[in-house]
Amino acid sequence: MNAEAVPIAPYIAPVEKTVHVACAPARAFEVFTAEIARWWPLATHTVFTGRSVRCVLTPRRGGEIFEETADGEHAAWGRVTEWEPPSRVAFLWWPGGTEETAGDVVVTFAREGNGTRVTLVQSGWQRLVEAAAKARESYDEGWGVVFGERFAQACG
Amino acid sequence: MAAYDKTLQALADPTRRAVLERLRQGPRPVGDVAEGLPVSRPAVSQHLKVLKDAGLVTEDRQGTRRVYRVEPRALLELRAYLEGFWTDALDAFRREAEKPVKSKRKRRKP
Repeated sequence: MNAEAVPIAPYIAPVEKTVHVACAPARAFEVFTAEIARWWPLATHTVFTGRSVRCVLTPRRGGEIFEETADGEHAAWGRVTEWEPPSRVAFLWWPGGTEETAGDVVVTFAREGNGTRVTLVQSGWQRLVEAAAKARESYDEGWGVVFGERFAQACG
Repeated sequence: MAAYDKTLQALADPTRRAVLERLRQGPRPVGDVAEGLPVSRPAVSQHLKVLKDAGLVTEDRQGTRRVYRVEPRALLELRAYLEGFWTDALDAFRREAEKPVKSKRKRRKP
């Protein structure tokens, strides 16, 4: 049996969440992306727990996603990889980690009744897990700071 | 969230995933797990220890034998955390998106 062939997928399947919002897809898309700072839970869902004053999703393909403290400390969260307003945005996602550990997040916006069905799928755990393996090889507890500890503690 | 780190670390190693895969087919002692794997039995024992520390497997003693079985709780907790993360964020998003646009325009400039 080739150990390398055992995939991670059965253990960490994609996370999929949907939400219905009572506004048009174009508005939902705008709020989710360009206006992320208006709703993102900065008090809990950040790398610099409670210290960040804003977060930004730069509204274009290749745009950076990051948070910032009042002192100008900057933590990258990811980068936009697909930009198709008003129906779809995708980004690499690595809050608390590095691009090497990034997951893939795809958010789609579809008209549903008078509102919009927003579907978010996070996949690509392979990179995170591989980075964990590398960190483990190079130093015993090094992985702690990556995604796991800093972000998870902030959010947990 | 130390448990979360441990879960990922435990899953990071392909041999450990192979070990877990074997245990998914049913509880078994270390010798049975090691059979057919390209690593030594002591190495398998070591991997089982890491999986156990991460809460991914449990060990039952049956006389002098130790039988290992998959404990799905750690993976369920990891998923619950990941799903909860986006549930909270999307709730906040929905509340913002459903606010009347008029009041938003006013507050748009930082």
